[in-house]
Amino acid sequence: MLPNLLDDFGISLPVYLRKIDKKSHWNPENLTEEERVEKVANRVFNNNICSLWYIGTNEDFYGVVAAISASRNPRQQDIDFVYLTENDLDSCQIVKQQTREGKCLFVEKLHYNIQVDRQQARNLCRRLISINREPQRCKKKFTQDILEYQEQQGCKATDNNQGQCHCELLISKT
Amino acid sequence: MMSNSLCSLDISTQKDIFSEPIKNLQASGVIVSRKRRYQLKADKNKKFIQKPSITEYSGLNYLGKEYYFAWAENFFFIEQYFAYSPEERVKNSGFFDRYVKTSDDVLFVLKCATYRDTREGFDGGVAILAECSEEILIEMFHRLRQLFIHSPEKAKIYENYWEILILAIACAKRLSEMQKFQLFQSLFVNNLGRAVKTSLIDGLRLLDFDPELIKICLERFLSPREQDDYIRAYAQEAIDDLS
Repeated sequence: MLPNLLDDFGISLPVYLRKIDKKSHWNPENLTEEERVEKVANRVFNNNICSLWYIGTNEDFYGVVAAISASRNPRQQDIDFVYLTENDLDSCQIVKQQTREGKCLFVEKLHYNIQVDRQQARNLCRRLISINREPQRCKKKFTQDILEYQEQQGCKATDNNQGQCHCELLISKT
Repeated sequence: MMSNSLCSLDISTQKDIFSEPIKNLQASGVIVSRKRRYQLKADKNKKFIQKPSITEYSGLNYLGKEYYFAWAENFFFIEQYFAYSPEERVKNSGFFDRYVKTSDDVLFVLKCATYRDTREGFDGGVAILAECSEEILIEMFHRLRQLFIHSPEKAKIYENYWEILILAIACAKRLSEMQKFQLFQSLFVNNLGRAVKTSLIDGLRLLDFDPELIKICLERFLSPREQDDYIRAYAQEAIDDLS
C-alpha cells in the first residue's frame, strides 16, 4: 500500500524533505537543550551545502523515495527524514538553489541545495526542536511498495528502467 | 589479480574505474590521499621507504611488511570508493568490497563514512559493508562487543561507527538471518548508549526472521531495567510493527 503523507505521517504539503541517517539522531541522550541543538545541527545539517527535496504531492514523495533509494544498497530500507516548511527556511535566512539530482525525471527538478553555515544550522534546529518537530520514517515496507509502484511507471531511478518511463510518455504526447 | 603491494598493483585492467587514481599513483611515486591522511613514498623499485604518517591508527597491529602493504592498498581503494558520488558508490560497492579484507579495513570504512564532508557517507558505509564476507563482519562485530564489555567509555566515542556497522549487518548479503539474529542477541551487554540501542532495535526489526523471537529480544528494552523512555518507546514501536 502506498503511503499518504497526511494520513501516514501527519504532514501537510507542501514541505521540503531533508533525508537524515537515523531518526534517533534528532534525539541524542543526556544533553541540555543547547547541547542537543548543537549535536542535531552537526548530525542533520552536517555539510555547508545540504540537500533538500520539495514535496508538493504524494507522487512527488514517491519519486523522491525512488531517487534516494537509488544511492542505497540494499534499496529497500527505512528512509528517515525531517520536513521543513518555507517559513522554517525563511526564518533562518536560508537560501535554496534548485539543482537537478537523481535519475527520476519526474522529481529531479524538485531537488534543492541549501547553503547553511553553522549558526544557521543551529538556528534552524533550535526552531524545529522548540516547535517539537519530530523526524519521520518511511518504513521499509512503504519503501518496497513505493519502489514497486515506481518500477511499474518505468521510473529511471529504479532497477528496471530500460524503456520509456511514465514521464517521458507524457512529454512525448504533448 | 591484485598483488599484495600498493606500488605493484596491476591497474591496467581497472582503467575505466580508476582513471583518476591512476594519475595520482604514477605521477611521482608519492601517494597522497585525497585528505592527506596517509602519505606513502616509494622508491624506483616500488618499495615503500617511509611509513604512513597516520598516527590515529596506532592501535592497529603491524604484522610486517606484507601486511603493511595490504593495509595501505586497501585503505587507498576504500578512500577512492568514498570519493565517488553516492549513486556511483552503490554501483561500485560490489567491486570495492574486495578491499575490505580485515576488521581494520572495516574500521577504515567506518572512519571514511563518518567524515563530515563525505556526502551520504552513512549510506555509502552500509552499502559496501553489506557486501562484505561473513567472517569479516563477524570478526568486527566481536571487536565491537569486546569494546563495550571492557572499555564502554571508549566504545561510546565511536557510536556513529557502530550505527553503520549494525545496519550493515542487518542488510548483509552473505550472512544468514539466523547469524544476524545471533550476533544482535550477543550485543545485549551493559553500557550500551541510546545510539547503539536504537541501531540494535532497527537491526532486529529489519530481519527476515521469526517475529516471535525478535519480539522476545526487543521486549528486553521494555523491562524495568531500561530507564531511557525514548528507548522504551522506540522498542515498543518496533514490536508493534512486527505484530
